[in-house]
Amino acid sequence: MTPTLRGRRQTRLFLMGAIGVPVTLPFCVLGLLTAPVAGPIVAVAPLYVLAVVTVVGLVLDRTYDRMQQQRWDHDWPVHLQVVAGGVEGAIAFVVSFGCCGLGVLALPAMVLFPVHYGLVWGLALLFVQGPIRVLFPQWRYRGGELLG
Amino acid sequence: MTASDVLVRLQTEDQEAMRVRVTLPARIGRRPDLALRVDDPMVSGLHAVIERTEAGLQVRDLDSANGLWVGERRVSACPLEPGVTVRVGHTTLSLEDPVAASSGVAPTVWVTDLGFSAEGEVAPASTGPSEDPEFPPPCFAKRQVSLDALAATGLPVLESRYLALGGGVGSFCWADALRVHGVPADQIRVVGFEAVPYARYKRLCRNSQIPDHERLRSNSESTPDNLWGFPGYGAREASTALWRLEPLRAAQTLWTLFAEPDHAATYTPRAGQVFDAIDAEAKRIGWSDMLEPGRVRGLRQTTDGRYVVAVSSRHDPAGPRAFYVAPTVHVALGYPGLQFLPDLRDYRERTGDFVRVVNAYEDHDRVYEHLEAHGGTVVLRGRGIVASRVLQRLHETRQRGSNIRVIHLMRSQNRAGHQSGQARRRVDNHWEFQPFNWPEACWGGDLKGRLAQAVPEERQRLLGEWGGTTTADREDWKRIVRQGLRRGWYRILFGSMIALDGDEQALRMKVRTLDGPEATETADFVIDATGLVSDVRANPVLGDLIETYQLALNPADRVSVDERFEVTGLRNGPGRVFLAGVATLGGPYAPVDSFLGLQHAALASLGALSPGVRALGPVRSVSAWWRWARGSRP
Repeated sequence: MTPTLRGRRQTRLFLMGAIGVPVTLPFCVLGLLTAPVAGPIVAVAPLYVLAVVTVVGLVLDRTYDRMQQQRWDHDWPVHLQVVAGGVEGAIAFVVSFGCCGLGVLALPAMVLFPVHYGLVWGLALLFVQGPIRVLFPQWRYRGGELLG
Repeated sequence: MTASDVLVRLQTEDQEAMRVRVTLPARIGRRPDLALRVDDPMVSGLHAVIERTEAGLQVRDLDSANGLWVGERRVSACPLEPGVTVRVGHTTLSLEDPVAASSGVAPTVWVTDLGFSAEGEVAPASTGPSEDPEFPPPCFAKRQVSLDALAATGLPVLESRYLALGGGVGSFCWADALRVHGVPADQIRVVGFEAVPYARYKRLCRNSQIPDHERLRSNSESTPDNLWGFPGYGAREASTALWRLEPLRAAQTLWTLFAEPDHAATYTPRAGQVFDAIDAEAKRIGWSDMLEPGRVRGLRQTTDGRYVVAVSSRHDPAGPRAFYVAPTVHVALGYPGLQFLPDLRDYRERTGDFVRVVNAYEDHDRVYEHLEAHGGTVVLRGRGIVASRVLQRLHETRQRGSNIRVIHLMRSQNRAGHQSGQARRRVDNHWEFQPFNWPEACWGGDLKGRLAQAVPEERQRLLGEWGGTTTADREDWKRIVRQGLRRGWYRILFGSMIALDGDEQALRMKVRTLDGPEATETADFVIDATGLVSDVRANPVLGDLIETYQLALNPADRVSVDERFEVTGLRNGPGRVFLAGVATLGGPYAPVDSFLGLQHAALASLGALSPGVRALGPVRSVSAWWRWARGSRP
């Protein structure tokens, strides 16, 4: 993959909407079922996590882009995508539940984070390896940009 | 080709015919220094000569042991005319190009390098379209031709909506994109002289030592048979391995795709896999229905806002001819010929020795066969991917016990690779590496955008920075070089060749070394792996277009195109001409002659064809892909 900074961010937003949201909704429902008393906050927590994941990614994208410039091919191979996924997950976890935590009500989301994040991120990784090009044949010639 | 040149066809039993351009008089025999060297025990060292007499061309016996035969008759001399076949030993000789040979007219094509014959074979000859004063007809002298003038010729005029010229991989990518976008096959015509789109490509691969089971220098997702690049060749290879119950192989391929290019050598597909995939797609899109066998002879604007293309028969200059008329034309004619270093070209022209001094892209298997049997010294020129493959082949031949030495002649040292920004290419023993022939981001990343936005002169600089001669960073190739250097059978000589001569025993090469003194080396063969000719004027059709329409050239001296690959200088009302491939090198897009680059060019040009071609939105794209996956017609 040879994304541009704009392409990274557009693709990320698209993936979070197209894959992240549908994958997250069952976790919201699950949250509701496990903690019927607490209600809305538990249900919304996974969506909050998804938002944090997205924002962390958008911020890191600039760093990735700089790293890419150091590479002769200006590419972003699969093994680096995987490493980046791990880093993003760790940071998103700390941000979601550590510093700006949701408190005890977010416990179910915290316990389920590895599964939730793993699913979102794993599917997104698979999706950019090819299927996304079936939707947008020009995607790969535009550094991952969907608009413009 | 000059008046004293003829093109001779040599056919030895059980072997493919060979076309050789010779300067008259041309001697025939087994001796390696002869213009027409025949490897046949029934042929004398010096057997016969082709010469021009007042009565025309003739072949004359030079007191050979087994004589000169026409049919069942032994002759001492015989006129060499079109249609006459003369036999020496087990080899037959005939005139290949009757028009050029008999009229002695010099065609307006390149004269020095190797070209492609009518069959697309690499021929050590200028075998472009032979000069035929009557075709294209006189009305082509003007910039615009009226349909009435075409009708007046009495030749067939065939109209279509889309017309692709070339019939190679470039044409295939364009026609495939049109078909995938929903254009019916009966609106598209493709003019070319090969039955399959990869014919010439495959021939060049085979000659440059990439047989079907070897890997190309191309990405997993550069799939000319699939517009989307999904699934890529890597995924397909892994899944095939799984079906064959070879899980280890599948895992290995997947690991490569995961770890490339940093922890594993970059994945590249086998040549045969790509050809098979193109075959399947050609069948699906109805390639053979669209294909019009013939050779493009010229293109003109029509007075009604379209274009007309004059097409003659593939072999026979006097054979069937026709005009093809269309408002949208795509031109992808490929490389016009093989490039020879000037000193080697000079040697070949001087001596007619096409056996010991060869281009890596021409059929030179005989070199390896000879080396395997007798050993010998090879001088290698060039340090690109083909040089790597040649060295690999020499190494393999050597491992079978032959005493082969390689002198790699390099004009300069290379200790540090090209630098671009903060990145630098790796170098090992003066060979420089990058996975493909451009940095990957040139295909669709930030470098693509940077080049497109740059002014022409800046483009030149960027292309110089990113391009240059490189080979792939393959462990096996690096190992061969290191091992060869250590054991002494491979040696790098820095300098430039100042003279090359030879006698029956060996070639003698005089080299001015980098540190000054002259060195003389003897060798048995010289293999020139420096590449293909990409001079657009060397292609008669493009050369004529440039001249007739005063087409703008880019700083790299290729045809100037815009980002949609349109030749804007040929615009004719609603009519559009697009150009793809190496003829556009130096323009807004770098990797123009790669599979993925050709696909990009096709998609980009389709963008200029709306509303005739409807853009492929997500829904239509998915449904088109689904048809591809199921193998059903688009």
